[in-house]
Amino acid sequence: MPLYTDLPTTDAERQKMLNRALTDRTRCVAIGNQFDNFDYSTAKNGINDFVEASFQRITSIITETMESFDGSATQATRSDHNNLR
Amino acid sequence: MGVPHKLRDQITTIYGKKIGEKNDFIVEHALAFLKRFFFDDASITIVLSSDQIYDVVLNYFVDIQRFKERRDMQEEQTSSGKIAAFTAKWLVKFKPLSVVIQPNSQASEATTFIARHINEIFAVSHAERILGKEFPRKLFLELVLDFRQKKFSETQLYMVLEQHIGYYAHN
Repeated sequence: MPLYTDLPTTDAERQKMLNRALTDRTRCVAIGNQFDNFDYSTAKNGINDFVEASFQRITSIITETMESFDGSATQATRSDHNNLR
Repeated sequence: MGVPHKLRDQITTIYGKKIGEKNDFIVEHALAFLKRFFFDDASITIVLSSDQIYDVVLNYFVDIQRFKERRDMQEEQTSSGKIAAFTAKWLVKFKPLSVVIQPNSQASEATTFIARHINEIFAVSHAERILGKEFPRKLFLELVLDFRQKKFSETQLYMVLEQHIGYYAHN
């Protein structure tokens, strides 16, 4: 049974395919670059203050959530227990 | 999925400035983030992969270009909502942060949860930094859990992010 494929079989073909992929990828990045005018340098400044504030808030969100999970779990267990009785 | 080193060098040489700035921004944020959350505990090992962050950055720019090409050529610049969404998408996908907690660690349950969801939490927090505003607490947690537990296709993930992040960027 014949097998048809575009897989490269020689080194030259492999190189050609790689070059094509590189060019396409590079072009995408280059164009994408032009559309992004976000000021990363400014956003980088003060990142430690931002992280400090995030730390407090995220820790509080997670702790609160875990406590509420524990609360619901305990409540569910009590309810199941009552139903069984 | 990773970008070959040869391509990296080529891209960085030609378009280095913007890529470098975005890369530095994510690295700086990730380092500060990991140190603040885990540095005090000797039983916790933290790892930051610069390779993976580079992949995040390059794939982000490819996404922006494809998005412009297919859907949105009228708009001159990319909105901060889309910047946040595409960046978060690749952070969740490549997972450049790792946290290993030793079995004998005294880390709290909250710390363990944060360690297990480190990339998702960082992605949402990074999106907040890009947008310059905080998500409501409930939404923050929903996004983290959605990123972690739901299996999104590329399109679905983008739509979820655009719905949440884009909405808050414009309101």
